[in-house]
Amino acid sequence: MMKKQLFLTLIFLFPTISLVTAKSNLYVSVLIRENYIVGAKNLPTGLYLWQGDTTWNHIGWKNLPIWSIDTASENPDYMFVAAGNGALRTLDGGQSWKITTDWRVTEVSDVSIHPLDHHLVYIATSYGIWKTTDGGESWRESNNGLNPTFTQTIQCDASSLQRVIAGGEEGLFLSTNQGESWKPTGPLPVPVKDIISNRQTPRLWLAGTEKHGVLISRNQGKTWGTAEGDIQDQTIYKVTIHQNNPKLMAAGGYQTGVFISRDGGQTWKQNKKGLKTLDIHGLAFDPNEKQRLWIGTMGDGVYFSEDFGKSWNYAGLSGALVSDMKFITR
Amino acid sequence: MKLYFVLLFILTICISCVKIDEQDLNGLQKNPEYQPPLYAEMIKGYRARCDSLVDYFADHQAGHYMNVAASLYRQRNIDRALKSLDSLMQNPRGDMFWMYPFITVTFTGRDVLPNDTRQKMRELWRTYTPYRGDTENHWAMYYASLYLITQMYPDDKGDKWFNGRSSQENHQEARDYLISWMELTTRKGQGEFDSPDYYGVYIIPMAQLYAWSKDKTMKKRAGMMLDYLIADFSVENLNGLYVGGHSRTYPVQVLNQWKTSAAGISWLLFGNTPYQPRSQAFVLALSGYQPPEILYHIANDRSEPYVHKELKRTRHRLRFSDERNAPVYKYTFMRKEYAMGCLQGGLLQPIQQHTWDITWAIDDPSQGYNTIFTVHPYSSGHELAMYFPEEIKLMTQAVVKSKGTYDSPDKWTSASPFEQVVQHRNALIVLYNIPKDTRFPHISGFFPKSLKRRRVDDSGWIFCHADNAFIAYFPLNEYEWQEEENNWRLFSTELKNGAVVQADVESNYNSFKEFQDAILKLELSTKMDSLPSVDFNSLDGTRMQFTYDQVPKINGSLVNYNTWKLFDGPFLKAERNSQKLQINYKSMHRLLDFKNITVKEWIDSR
Repeated sequence: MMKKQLFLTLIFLFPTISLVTAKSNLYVSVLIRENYIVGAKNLPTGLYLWQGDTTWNHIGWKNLPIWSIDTASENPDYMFVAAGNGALRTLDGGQSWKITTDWRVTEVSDVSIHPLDHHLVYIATSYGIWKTTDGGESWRESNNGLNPTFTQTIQCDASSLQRVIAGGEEGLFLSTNQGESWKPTGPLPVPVKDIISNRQTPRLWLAGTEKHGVLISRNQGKTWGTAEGDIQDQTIYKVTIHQNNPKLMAAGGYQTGVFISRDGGQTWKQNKKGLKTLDIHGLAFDPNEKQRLWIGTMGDGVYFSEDFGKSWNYAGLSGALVSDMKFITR
Repeated sequence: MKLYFVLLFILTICISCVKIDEQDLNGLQKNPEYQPPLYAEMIKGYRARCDSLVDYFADHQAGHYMNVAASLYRQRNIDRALKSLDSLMQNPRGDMFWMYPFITVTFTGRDVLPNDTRQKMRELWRTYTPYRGDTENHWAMYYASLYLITQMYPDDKGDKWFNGRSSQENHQEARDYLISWMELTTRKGQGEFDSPDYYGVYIIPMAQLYAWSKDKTMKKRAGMMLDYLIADFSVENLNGLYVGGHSRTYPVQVLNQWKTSAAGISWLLFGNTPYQPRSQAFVLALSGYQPPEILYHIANDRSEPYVHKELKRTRHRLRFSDERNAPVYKYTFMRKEYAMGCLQGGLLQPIQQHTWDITWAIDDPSQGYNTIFTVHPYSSGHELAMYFPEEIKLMTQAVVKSKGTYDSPDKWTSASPFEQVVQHRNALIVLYNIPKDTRFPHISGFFPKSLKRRRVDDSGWIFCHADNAFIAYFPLNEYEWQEEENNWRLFSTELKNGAVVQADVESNYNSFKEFQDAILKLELSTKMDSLPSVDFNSLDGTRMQFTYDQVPKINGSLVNYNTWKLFDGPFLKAERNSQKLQINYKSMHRLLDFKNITVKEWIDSR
C-alpha cells in the first residue's frame, strides 16, 4: 500500500518537477512578407529559437511559410510544423527535417500531436484534415462529416485519445473517434481561427473566431459560450491559456492588440498601448517567468509584457510576420 | 558517331519530305491565301530557330544558368560557364525557378561537367531547400525537376535530399503528381489556363521530361502534353500573340501581348512573330521536341474565320464555394484581321484575370497596344481568401507587396464577381451590376491611341478603326474619357453598366462611314433600371439577348453551358473527361489519347 502511494505521488509530481527543473525554449514561426514572392529571394522565413534579448537563431528550412508548431510532450526533439508544403517532422530537435506528407497535402495551417500518443498526429489543411497513427510515416484523409473542408485549426484533447476538435470555415467540429467522423459543435457557424485547451484543466477550451471574438467551453468542447465585452465582435487569430493558471488567458487578432482575462474568461481587457502593430498572430505565456506574456505581431516582430499588457518589451525579429509561437520544455 | 547522327537526320528529313509531299496534296493547296512551306522547310526553319536561340544563350554570357546550360550544350566558352556556375551556386535562390534552370544545366552538362562541380551540384540538392510554391506552374516545375534529379540519383536515402525523403519516395511522389496533373488537365482543363505570361513555365517542365526522362512512358506523356499545350495555344494564336481570355496576365502584358513567354515560344515553334530570346523557348529548343506539322498549320492558317470554344477550370477554391474547380467557359472568334474572345465573367482566377478583349493584327506585333477591353477593378479579401489560405483581413495587404496593382483603382487586369459576358462570333455583350459599397465602384475601358480613328456618334456608339478591323462599341451608361500616356480610358462610375461590341473587317466595307451606317441600322435596346439588360441584333443577323444574372439567349435559345466541350472548334475537339484530344486540319488528323498513352495520326483519303 505504501509503495502504491509513493508511486502515485511521483506520477502526480512529475510534471511539476519537470516544470521546475526543465528549461522551456521559445520557438516562433515567421513569415517575412515584405516584397515576398515565391521564387524571388531567399528570405529568412521559417522557425526561430529565442536566444535572449532580441537575438534569435534560425532553425531548419529557410524560405518556408510555417503556420504552426507542435512537439511531443515527452520528447521535445520530436516536433512537427504545419507548412505550406506539408507537415514537416524533425526527430532531432530541428537539426534535420522530413516532409512527411506527399503532393496530396498542401497548405497545412495547424498540427496537433496527441499528448497521450505522439504517433497520433492531426493536421488541418485548406482541403481538410489528415491524420497519421505512425508518427508521419503515412497519412490519410479524415474528413467524414466535415463540410466545408477548409480547416484552419485542430487540437487534440489531452485527456482522451479519442477526442479532437477542429475549427474551419463554418465553425467547430468535434470528433470522438480519433477523427474518423466529425460533428458540428459550438454556438455559431462562423470561421474559427484557433483552438486551445488547458492540460491542467482539460475541460477548459478556448477558440478564436472571425468577427465573433472568443468562444469558451468549460465542458470539454461539448457546449460553447461567447466571451462578452469589447472582444465579442473581434477577429481573433490566437488564443492561449496559462498552463499553470487557467484563469489567465489571452487573445489577439486583427487590429486588436492583446486581450487579457485574469478571471478565466469572464472579463477581458484590451491592451494596445505601446504596440506599433495591432495585428497579433502569436501568443504564449512563458512557463519560465510567471507573468510574462509573449506576442508575435504581423509585421513588427516579437514583444513580451510582464505586467499584463500595460507595457511591452521589444524582443526582436523586426518586420517579421509571426504566425505562431510555442514554448518547448527541455 | 556524329556523322552517323547527321546522316540519320538528313534521312529523316528526306523521308518527311516524301510523306509531306503526299499530304500536301490533300487540301493545303486549295487555299490560295495560306501557302505553307513544305514540312521539311518548316522543320528546317524550326531547327534553325532552335540553333540560333541556343547560340544566343551560349554567346550572351549574362551569367545565368541558361547561359551556362547553352555553353555546356554547345561545348564552347566552357571555362567561363563553369566560373558562372560556381558563382551561381554560392547563393542558390528561387525555389522552383532555381530548380528548372539547375536541372537544365545538370542534364546538358552531364557529360561535360567536371566531377567536383557535379559533386557540388549534387550537394545543393541536400543543402538548399526549394519551396514547392502554391500555383499550378510552381508544382509543374518543382515535380518535373524532382522527377529528373531523383532519376539521376535513384538510390540515395533521405539524408541526401533537402526534404528528407529518399530518391525513391521523391521520384514516386513526383511521378504521381505529374500524372495526376496531366489527367486533371485533359479531363477538366488547366486552372492556370491560357496565360501568355505563364505559358512558358508549363512548356519548360514538359520539355525537360520529354528530353531527359529515362522512362519511355513518361517521355511520351510529356511529348503528348507538349502537343496538347501547343495545340491549345495554336488555335488562339494571332501572329504569335496568345489572344482571348486569360487566367493570368500582367499590367504591361495585357496591353502588349507580345512581351510574353508565349510569344517567344510562338516565334520558336512557328516563326510567326518577331524574335525574342526567351529562356522558356530555349529549354524547348534544347529538348529535341519537334512540333507536328498539323500544329504549324493551325497556328498560322487564318484564311477562314472560325469560332473556338474551350472549357477550363478555376484554380482550386479553398473557401466560399461548393465547387473546388468551377468551370470556365471560354469563347474565341478568330480571323486573320482580329480576334475577339471572352470568359463568362465572375471570379475565375484571383488577381490577374483578363475576361474579354478584341485584339487586332498589326504589322509588328511587338509594338502592342492593339486591343480594346473593359474591366471592373475588383479588390477584396473575399476573392483572395477563396483561393489562398491566409487570413482574409490581411490578404490584400500581403498580395499588394508582390502584385502591386491588385488594390489599385486604375488596374487593367481583374476578375470581378459583378461582370458577366456573352459572345457570339464577332459580337459581344458585357454587363456590370456593381453594388454601391464595392471598393472601386467604377469600370474602365481601354482604347489605345494607336487606333487609326475613334469617333463618338450622337447615337452613343463609339466607332474605332483599328488597322484592318472596324470596331463598334456601345457603352450602356454614361462615362467620361480620361487621357493617359498610350491610351484613352473610358471611365464610368455608373454601377449598372456594360457595353455591346461589334467588330468586322475593313475590307467588307467601302468606307469607315459605311460600317458606321451598317451599325446604326442594327436593332439595339437596353434597360438599366433594374438589372442591366441588352437585346441586340448583330451584323450577321444574330439576335443576342442578355440580362444580368440570367442565362443569355442566342437567336431565342438559351446558351447551353452544360454541353460545353473541353475543346470545340474546327481544329480541336475534346469531350469533357475524355482525356482525348483530336487535332484536325483539313484532311490531317492527330489524336492524343491520354488514357492509353497513344498518338494516332492519319490523313483522310480523297
